[in-house]
Amino acid sequence: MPVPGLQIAKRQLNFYYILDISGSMSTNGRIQALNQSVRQSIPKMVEAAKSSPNAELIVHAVTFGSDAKWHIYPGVPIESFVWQDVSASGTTTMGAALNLVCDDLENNMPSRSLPPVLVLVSDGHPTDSFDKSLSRLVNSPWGRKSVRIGIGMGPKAEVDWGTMERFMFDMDVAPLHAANSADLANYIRWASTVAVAASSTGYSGAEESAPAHLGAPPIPPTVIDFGDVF
Amino acid sequence: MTLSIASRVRIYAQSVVGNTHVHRNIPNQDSHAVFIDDVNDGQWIVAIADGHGSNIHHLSNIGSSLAVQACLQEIQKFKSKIIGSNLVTDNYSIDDIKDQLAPLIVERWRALAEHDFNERRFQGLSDDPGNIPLHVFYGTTLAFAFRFNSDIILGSIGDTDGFWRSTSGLNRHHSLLGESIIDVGEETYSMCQKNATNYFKFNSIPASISGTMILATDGVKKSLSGEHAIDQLLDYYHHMCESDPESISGDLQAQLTALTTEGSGDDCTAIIIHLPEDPSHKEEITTSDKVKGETTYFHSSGDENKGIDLHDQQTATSKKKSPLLPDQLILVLVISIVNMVTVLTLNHMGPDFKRVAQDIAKLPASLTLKAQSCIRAAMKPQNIQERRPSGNLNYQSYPENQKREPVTQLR
Repeated sequence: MPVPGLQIAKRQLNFYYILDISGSMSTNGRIQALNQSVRQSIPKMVEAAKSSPNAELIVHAVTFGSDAKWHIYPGVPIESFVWQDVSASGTTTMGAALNLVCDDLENNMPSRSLPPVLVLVSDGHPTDSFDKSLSRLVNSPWGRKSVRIGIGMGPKAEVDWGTMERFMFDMDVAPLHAANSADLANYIRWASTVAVAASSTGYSGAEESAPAHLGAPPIPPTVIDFGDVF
Repeated sequence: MTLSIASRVRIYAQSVVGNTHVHRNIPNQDSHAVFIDDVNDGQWIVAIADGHGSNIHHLSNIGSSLAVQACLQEIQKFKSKIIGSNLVTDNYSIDDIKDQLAPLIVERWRALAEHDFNERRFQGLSDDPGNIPLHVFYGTTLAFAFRFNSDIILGSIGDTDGFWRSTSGLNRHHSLLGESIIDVGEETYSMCQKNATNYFKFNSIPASISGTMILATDGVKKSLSGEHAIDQLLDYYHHMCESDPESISGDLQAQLTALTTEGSGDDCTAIIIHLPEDPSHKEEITTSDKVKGETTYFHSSGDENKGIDLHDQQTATSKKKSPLLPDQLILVLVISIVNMVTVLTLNHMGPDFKRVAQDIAKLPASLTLKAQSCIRAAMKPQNIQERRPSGNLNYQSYPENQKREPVTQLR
């Protein structure tokens, strides 16, 4: 018989939504689309968690407008995750939001966790020192190993693609562009499920010779757009 | 210098395919090997390796099996080289051992990987590696433990670790090989890295203390909720080693299966080494009748996840005396020659010195006999053989499918 009462635990998979709620998100129904897309992603995330029986999916959310703050913290298991709508106002303190995530990764992550998944959604340019925060993320053990997906929403010209690309340093896929609500729902659902699956494969890699992350499966083709153009 | 052994060391090893790997039909990436030298005073070596498993390391299940092979081969060579070259092994520090052994193991592993890859290319199983060093395909961690003089030496590269508790339970260690800063998530140091030898960690514990050590791949540690759970595991198997050793193999298999199913989902492999409370350092080793005096190999019987209980099978009777090592032999010869020259000189110096010469002559007589005996012993083929790596090996890996591969013999 196995050791009686042995404290066996699944490995935590910490998922972070990093969501832009700046004033520009209030235009063209962007913030409503964001709320709806996150809410719609929940059943798929539950499904993804079930297909990774050795991972305990914990969801966190941080929002950034005039300031960055935790919207869901501490993280909650996906089974009890309920999305409360956010509203848009203020500037784009993306760097501060990333700092909050770094704080959590540096202080609260069990060493036996799976690589965290970070999904950044924004429609504009950061108004604070994003690169400083990114550098902190890059240099943290968990940040470097994280699976990161950036989704730019709204007109292509308004999104800071340089920031998105730097955020997705060494990832296999390019930042995603959600031109409408259907795209956004599709990409958030994709990011929140396949990134979870990729993080929880249980594969390991050499420190130098393998990518620090596991990459992500191909992005599904964008569905025919029946949604609003942001 | 006598190499003595704790005559009732028990070693158990088990491995199970990870739960996530079962779901994805991926073979076990772990390998382990146990070597018991029933000629050279029952010295033992254990090795455990965890192939990385990701796409870029697509031959890592083979890489892990080559790693335990390379490890056992080089440790045997290392030990026999030291013993055969009159070096004072007591003066060997852990750093000396690391500096010498780590490069040998890495070099050997690379050679085995290159050989395997060339074979694959010849058979059309692998393409040109292109710009990627082929060793990367075989990426794996490695950890090992072996008896060396009065210590048990542990070494590793990567996140495979060891746990320890003394018999009293007062002395405990939850990470004998220490976690590196990068040992979070799925990334770790690897045998396939450019400067792999730089990332080896070594440690030692006195072989005279009693207790239980568990070497385990990261799938085990990542399934345990913390240090308390490691203690639970250590306590359970320590007591089981003392009270019900016959049941350990089956129990360990069930335990590892529970760990991967309810825990990490990764392949789980563990080697338990139980050092008894009263290590009498006897020269005589007890054995079961069926293997007495024979070279014995340990098979997994083809039954997936079936483990081995080395205690019942591996020990062999050995009533030999410890052979005199060359440094002692030379000393005896030098003393004998000096004494003979002295006696001859005194005899030629006149009658007054003859009495002294007669007294001294008594000394070389006994020493000469001893020297002759030593020379005879050293010249015997079987004694020469005793200096070579020899013994029993259980070498298990799971390369191509989820069935355990036949035991491979290394000599």
